[in-house]
This record gives sequence, structure tokens and C-alpha cells, in this order.
Amino acid sequence: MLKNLQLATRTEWIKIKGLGLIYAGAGLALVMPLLKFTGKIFGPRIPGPPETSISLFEDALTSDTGPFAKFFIILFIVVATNRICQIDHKNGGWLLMETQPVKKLSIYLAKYLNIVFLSFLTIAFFFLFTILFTALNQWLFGQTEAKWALSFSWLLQDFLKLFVSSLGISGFMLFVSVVFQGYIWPFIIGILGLVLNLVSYIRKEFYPYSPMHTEQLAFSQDTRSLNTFFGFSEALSIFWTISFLLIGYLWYSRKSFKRAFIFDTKVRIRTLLMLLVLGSAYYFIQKPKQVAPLAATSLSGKLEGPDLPKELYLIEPEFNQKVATIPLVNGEFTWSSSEELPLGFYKLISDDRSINTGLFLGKGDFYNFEVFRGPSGDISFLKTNRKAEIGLQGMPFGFEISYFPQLFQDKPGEYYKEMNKAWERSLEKMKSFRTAENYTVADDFLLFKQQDMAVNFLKAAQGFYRNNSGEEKAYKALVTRLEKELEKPSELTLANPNYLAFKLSSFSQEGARADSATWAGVSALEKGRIKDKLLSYQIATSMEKLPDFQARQQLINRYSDAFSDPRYTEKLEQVLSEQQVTLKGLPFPDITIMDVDNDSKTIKDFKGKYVVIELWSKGADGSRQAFRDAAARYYWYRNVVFASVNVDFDEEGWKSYLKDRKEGQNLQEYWLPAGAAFVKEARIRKLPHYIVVDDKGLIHDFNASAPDRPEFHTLLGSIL
Amino acid sequence: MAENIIQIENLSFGFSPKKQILKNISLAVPKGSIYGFIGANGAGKSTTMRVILGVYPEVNHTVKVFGEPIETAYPETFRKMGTLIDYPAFYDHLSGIDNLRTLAILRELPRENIDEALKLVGMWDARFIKMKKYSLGMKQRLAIAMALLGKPQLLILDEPVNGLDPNGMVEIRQLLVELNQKTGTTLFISSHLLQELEKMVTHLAIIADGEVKFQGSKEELSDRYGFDKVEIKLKNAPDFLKYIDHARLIDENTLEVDTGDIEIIARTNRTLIENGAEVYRISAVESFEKWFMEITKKN
Repeated sequence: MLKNLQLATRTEWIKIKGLGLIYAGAGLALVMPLLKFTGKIFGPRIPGPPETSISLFEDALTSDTGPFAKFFIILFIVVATNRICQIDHKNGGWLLMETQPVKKLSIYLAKYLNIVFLSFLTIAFFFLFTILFTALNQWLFGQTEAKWALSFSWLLQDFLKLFVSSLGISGFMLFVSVVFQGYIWPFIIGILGLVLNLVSYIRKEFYPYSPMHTEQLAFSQDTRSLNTFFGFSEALSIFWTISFLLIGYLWYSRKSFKRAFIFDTKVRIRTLLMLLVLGSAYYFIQKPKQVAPLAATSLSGKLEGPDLPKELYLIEPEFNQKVATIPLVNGEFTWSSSEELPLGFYKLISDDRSINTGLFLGKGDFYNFEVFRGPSGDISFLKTNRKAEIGLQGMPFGFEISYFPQLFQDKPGEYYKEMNKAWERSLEKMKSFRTAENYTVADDFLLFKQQDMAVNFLKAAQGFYRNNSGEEKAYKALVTRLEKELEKPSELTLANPNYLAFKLSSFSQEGARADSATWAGVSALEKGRIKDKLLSYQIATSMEKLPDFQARQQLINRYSDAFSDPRYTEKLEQVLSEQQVTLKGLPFPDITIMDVDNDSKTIKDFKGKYVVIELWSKGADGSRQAFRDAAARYYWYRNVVFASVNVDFDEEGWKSYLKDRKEGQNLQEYWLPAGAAFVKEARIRKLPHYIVVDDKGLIHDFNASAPDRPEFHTLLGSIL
Repeated sequence: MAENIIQIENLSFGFSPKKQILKNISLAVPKGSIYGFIGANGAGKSTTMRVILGVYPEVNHTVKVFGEPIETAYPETFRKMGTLIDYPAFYDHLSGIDNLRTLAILRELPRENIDEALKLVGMWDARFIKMKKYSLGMKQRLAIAMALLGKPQLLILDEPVNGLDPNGMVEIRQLLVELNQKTGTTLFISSHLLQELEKMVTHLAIIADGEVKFQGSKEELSDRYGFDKVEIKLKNAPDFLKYIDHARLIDENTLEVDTGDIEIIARTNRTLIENGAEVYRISAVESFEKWFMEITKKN
């Protein structure tokens, strides 16, 4: 059989001579690299800040593999398969082949192997062209030093994923092209598959039932973030390959659908068995999976780049306490623990930067980080059993209810009806959510998201009811339904500020005495965990409204006996001590900064003017353009100074920076010696960080928004 | 009993059990014969040939080639067979030689076989030209070369001279007869061009409406369906019409006479001579055309 197949494959290869398929593959592989290259030649050459890079080639391949995998390689398979089959459909080629000493199975498989080989060549062309043109781009137009190294294992995985995920598409298109003898139908079906992929991209959904969807699944996230070398898309691709080779071969060799599948009892039984086996296989492959927790919780990973920290800290969410100090050795870290770890959103941070501030972690979960630090921030990849939770966290479930009040103004009946429908629809979507790797969320997280959504729906319904009377019965039915969801708030829900704020608001009525009613309501609660959480949230949010340190301290003292767990008081004390340095109205810390002439200055020297400060580090150099732009924008305002302060240069580094610096309009540049200590003391978690100091040298906003956010300009508008 | 290269017994075939295209067909193609398979369009010729070639699946073990049921014989037995079914099958984007190469690879034949086949059908000079530029006659010749590749013991040809000019027809016909005579290759040829087969076959079968109406040697057909008529070529035929019973004037020099037995032919001849007629030729009136028409008419 193997020799037979080999001969048939050689014959098929001769048959495609002169069809131009290799050129077509090379042409399609060239589109993306050539477009980029042409863009560099004819496009504007604006010198920008250096990007964070993993590798020159990997960056290019990562950005281009998606479009190539989701469009160009599929288009090639559609065209090539159709063309290859047409040469046999057209002039009795099937009959000619079938009357030679070669098995029909060999003929069918030989065609498939040739299509697969042509796809392989096209993918290889794509990788080759991308690498060549990237190198050429860098050589001709490169403005910063490039990282030339390329990880072979990454390259191999990316290549193989692209190739294996195309196998099912080839199998499907061969089946379609053999069964539908005209040129047009296979082409239409192929294009429909591409359109469905586009719909999936726009709607952010996955359609595993489409055999042409495997590349879409394979390249919906970066290869480095995949939990396994091969995953869901490859399993599906292999399944489609086997299914369509089998169905296609039977249909082809028996010459009609009837003879292949329903001719007589024997054939019908075979068809039923085949459907049963394939159906079961499909069911098991596409069934979304939850990754079972391991015996121990583990965090591991590696950081690459300059100025790496010596250790990382795992911070628990409830009391902001350090759970673990994880040493970083040669850029790598590993930590595991079999101790109980309450489920929540943890933080993994270093002294100067956050690795992840929303690490959904519980006992038995694993996270593996790969972080590349560079001038314009970090590029990080994450392998974890909590992929689905991370994915679901970013999904806007029930967002449509935000425009219902306008849509159903004065139509309360319709509003409540649509709210019920939206609830059911969102719930269904949430439950059926799956990632490209086919992971689904764990029940604990699903309940949390469900309860969070119930809070949003309740808030919306109550708001609508206040402004639109009528249909009380429908309103109450909806509220009862939603409140039922919140009867037993999960641990995660009890830590959710959205829920806590809603719960607290439910104690009060509309009006001036709302705040005192809330205090009364929360005080009246029975001592315990729920009261602790609600009370600490209420104190923390109320503290922000109090003008000075002492008033805040008094507030904490007033309720310290109301907690069942004294750690809540400690937590509030900690928050207050952090605020002590950064509180609005306090004098800005007395720090000495160096200007471009190496003369020292303090913030007090700017008295009489508002000072907008940008604290930045070498690692965050790339995101400074927005601050330069803001400084230029406020050029005509004479009562404001824009001060950009570096916190991690040494003296030599500062001097060297001054030589190459680009001067910004209205921007004053400074260097803060021993800036890291200030950053740590002020508990600044992320750089660049923005602070506004008023004309008296007092803190106006220690945590101002980034200059590319509208809030930043609202703030400046209010003071200038 | 002569060895049969193709043996079909009670073959019925259809794409659905209720609608049968071939009905209870039986055929025996003796080794070394040139077997004509005659039928009008839609009679079931091509379907029969496709079943024989295993292109259409037949699971009742009714067809044997080289003494072996086709279910097990194929595809290995194709090494001993050459085929030309329907309109010549080929890849028109390839040259003539590349078309032959595709088959030579499958049959594991050396390059010499390709050259030999090309020369045999007179296509050597056009071997590098792409087939889409070939005339219909050239395509037909190349298709025959493809069938002859590997010196097959059995050639199954469907309308092999279709599309050829009269000279081409004669050439191919001679080629096939020569092949049969020199190498003993068995030929199974279908056609609706009855005159073509009439001149070369040793055996034949006639199919109509999915049923075989006749099969046997050419002589057996003549014996069974021969007509009792003779054609007499003579000078001034109208002058002698009055001397002969059951005679019709065909033209100035031809009379057609109904004859019951061979004695009547002798007596008619004698009467004509005695009345001064110059008789040039007496021949039996028979042709495949008429046989075919007669047989299919009975259906």
C-alpha cells in the first residue's frame, strides 16, 4: 500500500506541473512581508521611541502569522485544492487514474498529500520571506539596535501549529472539491468559511463546528501563551482530517452519496457506525475543559531584560499582606505551596513594578510567566489553568442594558421584558464561554461573574424604576429573580467592590441622609465576616472624602471594635499610613532633583505655579510621548510647569541621557538621585506615574491620570 | 473450451436497487479475440465497461477478468490491461510525453516504453507540445498510446476511432488488428459506428436497453440472423426483371432477389444466363447495420 501511495503521489505531483500552484503559494506568502516593506519605503519615517522586542524576527512573525493563518493560507488551500481536482474533473482524469494499477484510496490520499505538501511549502515561504524582509527592513531603515536572536523552539512550534491546523482545512476542501465537480461551488464554500472566520473575529466567538476555523483557533493567542505544545485547534484539525478523508474517500470511491452511505442495509449500518464513532470523537474533542487544580499551587517563570529585580512578592487581596517572597535567580523564579490559599485576585509585584495585579489564584492553580522587559514596557506571556477566567473577566456581558433606559423610555413593560431576556442571554453566553484552547471557567468564578452581573442588572433596574413608574409587578419579579442570585454571595463576591457598594447602597434611601442611613445599616449588622467586609469598604471609601489625616484616623478608631477580625483595622491603618505621604493637601515630600545643567532644585522652588510631575524610569521611556504632547498643549498656560523626573539613572546615565535627549516644548527635565527609594516609600506601583502639586507646594493629586486619558485634561481644566 | 479473458455472468447494476441500468448481462470475451460491443447511445455500453473496469462498484462477484473476480483482481490486473474509455482522458495542461509519464510511473514502466508507444501511434514529433494544442485526432492517437503503454494483454477501448479522419480510422484499425494478430492481444471494443467494427471484429455482443441481445462469433450471428436475400450485379438489369420471381430493381445494374434456400440462388443464376444476361457478381445482402437494426427493433 505504501509503495502504491508513493507512486500515486509522484504521479499527482507531475499532474500539477504547469498549474502555477507553487508560484501562487509563494505569491500569497509574500503579500504580508512585501506590504510591510513597501510601507517602509513609501511610508513616512517618523522616528519613534524604541519598542520592547522579544526578537526582531519573532516580533515580525507574531504580528504577521495571524493574518496569514486566518486568511492567506486558507485562500491558498481553497484555490489549490479546487485546481488540483478540476484537472481530473475536466477530462476524465479520475477514470484514467482508476484504470491504472493504483488503489482508489491511494489516488485520493495522493491528492491530499500533494495539497498538504503545497501548504507546507507555502508556510515555509511565508516564514522565509518574513525573516528576509524583516532583516532587510532593519538593515535599510532600522533606527534602533535590534535583537536578532530567534528561539528555534518557538519557531518550530509556530510553524508546526500553522501546518497541523491547516490539515483539516485541506481534508475538508478536498472532500468538497471532489464531490462538487464544478469550480464554483467549492470556491463559494471556501469563501464562506473565510467569511465565518471574519464573523468569529468580529463577534469574538469561536465556531469549532466549522472545519475551516482551526487556524482561527490556533492563532487567537500567541504561541508562547499556550499551555501545551499542541492543543485544541490541532486536535480538531486532526479530527476533521480523518473525518473528511473517510467521508470523501467513501463518496468518491462509491461514485455517489447513495452507494456510499445509504445503498442497502449493510452500507447503512456502516454509515451509522461511522457517524457514531465520529460524532462521539467530535463530542469529546470539542467539549470545553476545566483544568483540574493540582495538589500544590505554583508560580514560576522568567524575566528577560535590563535591571531585573532580586525578588518578587505575592500579595493577597484581602489584607494586602505578603504571602510569599520569591527570589529571582538568573531571571527565573519558582514557587510552590501546598498550603490553603483563599481564592482571590492576588498581585505579583517587585519593588519597582507589577508583574500581574489581577492574578486569579486559589489552591492548586498554576501560573507560568514569561516577561520581556523593554523601553516601552513589558511584553508578557502567561500559561495557567485559569485561562478561561482571565478571558471571561474581560468580556462585557450584559453591556446592552446600558442603553435600555433610552430605548424603552416610558415603556416599562418592554424594559422589564427585555431585561429578562438580556439576563438569560448573557447568562447563557457566560456559561458557554470558552477560550481558543477550549477551556471553560470553573464554577467558583462563574458564580462570581454571575453575581457581579446580577448586581449590575439590579442597579440598572432600580435606577429605571425610580424614573419610570408602572409595571410594578414586572419590576418586582425581575428584582426577586436577581436578588435570588445574590442570596448566597460567594467569597469572591464579598471581595467585589461592585457588590459591596451595591449592598451598602441598599441600606440607604435617596436623599440627604443617605450616608447616615448606610452607616446605621452596616452598624446594625451582626458581627462577622460579612459585616467586616462591608464596614471596611465603607470606611475606606468614606476616608477618601475626609479632608485630613486626623479625621480619617478618628473614623477608623470609631469602628475598630465593630470588626470581628482585627486585621481589617490593621488594613485600614495601613491604607491611611500610605495616604499619609500622598494625601491631598499635604506638603509634597521634600526631594532634591537635578536639572539639565546639573543644578539642584526642590519642588518648593516652583511655588506660585502648579507642577505636573511625570516620574519615569528607563524601562518606561517609550510611553513618555503623551506627556511631551501634554506639555506642548499647555504651553500658553503660564501658571503650570511640566516636570519630567527620571528615577533610575545614576549620574553617568543622566549625563549620557542629556546628550541624546529630545527637547520637548514646555517640558522641563530632571533627575532624582536615589529615586528608587522615593518610589518605594511613596508606594508607587507602576511607572510612569503622574502627580499634580498645587501652587502652594501641596499635593493636589498624587495619583493623577495618564496624560493620554481625558481625566488628565479634566483635572488640569479644573485648576488652570 | 477457449479461455475467456473477460467473463460476466448475470450482471445487474444500478445506482439504486430499484432502478437497474444493466439487466442480467452475461458476456464471454475469448482470449485473442477482437470483441465488438455494439449498442446505441444509452444502451448501457459505457456502464458495462465501467463495471468491468471496477470504476463502478460491483459486489456480487459477477465479473471476472483474467479468471479472477474484479473485486480482488484490481488494481494489480490493470498492469495487463490498457484502456480508453469515453472521450480520451488526459491532462491538457501537460505535454503528450508528460501525460504518458504519469501512467508510466503508476505502472512502473521504463522510459523506453513511453518512446515506443509514442512512435507506434505517430506522435513522437509532437511529444513536447501541450495537449491543449493537439487536434482531436492527435488526442485520440495519444489516448491509444496511453492504452498501449506497457504492452497490455487486454485492451478495452471505447469508441477508439471516434474523431479520426477516414485515413486515421483506417490506420488505427490496422494498428489494432496488427496488434491482435502479432501479439495475440485481446481487444474489447465498443462502438456505435457499426461499419467500423464490422470490418475488424471476430466476436461481438449487441446491447440494447441494458440487456445483451446477442453475443457470439461473427459467423454465429450471421447464421442466426442472416437474411435470405442476394444482390445480383448485371448489365441492363431492368430487361431481366420479368424472368425472375420475387425480384426488385435496385438500380440500372442491380437486382435484389428473395431466396428461400441455396437452390433458388443457383436456379436464378441459370435463368439469367439462359436469357443472355451478363452477370458480374452475386452476393449475400448482409451487414452489421442491418443486423443491429433488426435486433434492436425486436426490443
